[in-house]
Amino acid sequence: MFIINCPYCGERDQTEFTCHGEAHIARPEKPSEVTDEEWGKYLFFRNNPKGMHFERWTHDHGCRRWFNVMRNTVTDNIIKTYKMGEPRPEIPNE
Amino acid sequence: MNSQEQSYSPLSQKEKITSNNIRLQQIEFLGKLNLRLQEDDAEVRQIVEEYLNYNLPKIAGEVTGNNETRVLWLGPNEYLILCENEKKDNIINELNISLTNSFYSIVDVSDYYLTMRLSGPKSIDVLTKACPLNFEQALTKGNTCAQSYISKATVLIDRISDDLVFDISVRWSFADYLWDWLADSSNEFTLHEE
Repeated sequence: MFIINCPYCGERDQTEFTCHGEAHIARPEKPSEVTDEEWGKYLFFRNNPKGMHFERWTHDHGCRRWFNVMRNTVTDNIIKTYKMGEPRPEIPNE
Repeated sequence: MNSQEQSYSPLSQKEKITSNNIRLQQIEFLGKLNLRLQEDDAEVRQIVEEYLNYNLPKIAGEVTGNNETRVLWLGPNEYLILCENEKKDNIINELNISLTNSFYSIVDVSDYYLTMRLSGPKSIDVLTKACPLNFEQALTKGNTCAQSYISKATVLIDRISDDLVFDISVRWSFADYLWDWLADSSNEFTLHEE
């Protein structure tokens, strides 16, 4: 069992949540004006860091809200969870 | 023909559980209204609160209410209003009138969910078999609610009193499965009662 802190409901079991990939990827404002390469980058290219990663999660079996998670991909530690729309937190110094 | 004679649910044929340790029954004719409003819209909140005569829940898992209605916290901008089935249309109409120019939604979800009432001293023992909630943190007293899952079914659990009485709402297509699961899990407590 590992526990995730939902910014709305508080601490809940991991099995209530789903991860939906990398966070803070902005859709180009005018898709018709970007090149195929830029569009392809937006659609398919993702960071795959060893260390701190920012992800979007949903609390499927709880409040059903989306929120962001800062997770260390090496240790699986979740450093921070924060609401959608809040700025990306600073990566702490090791 | 009145509405009671027309009613049919997947739980109509189920046998109630009535032991000292565990009781399980269906709660019928419960009106359920899903209310959504913008999180920071104090005006809409106030209109709804004036109509209901009490405050909407403010923190996660809070339930407020009076003798006629109950409001459950579902999310930061989402609530479930429980009422008698005959009164739901009235509530929708009156809220629609007083909220005419506001940004909100109120949807009748009475038929989306079935509600079953699990009670008795062993009810938490039954729930913890397949519900990941920490019952030392969530649902610790009356008038609290939590959304989670029991076995494979997503549920909304509403603890209606400080006694161990839980109203479990589940999508109606999962009701048959969840009832059988709860009945099966209760077996060990009902078969060998002291």
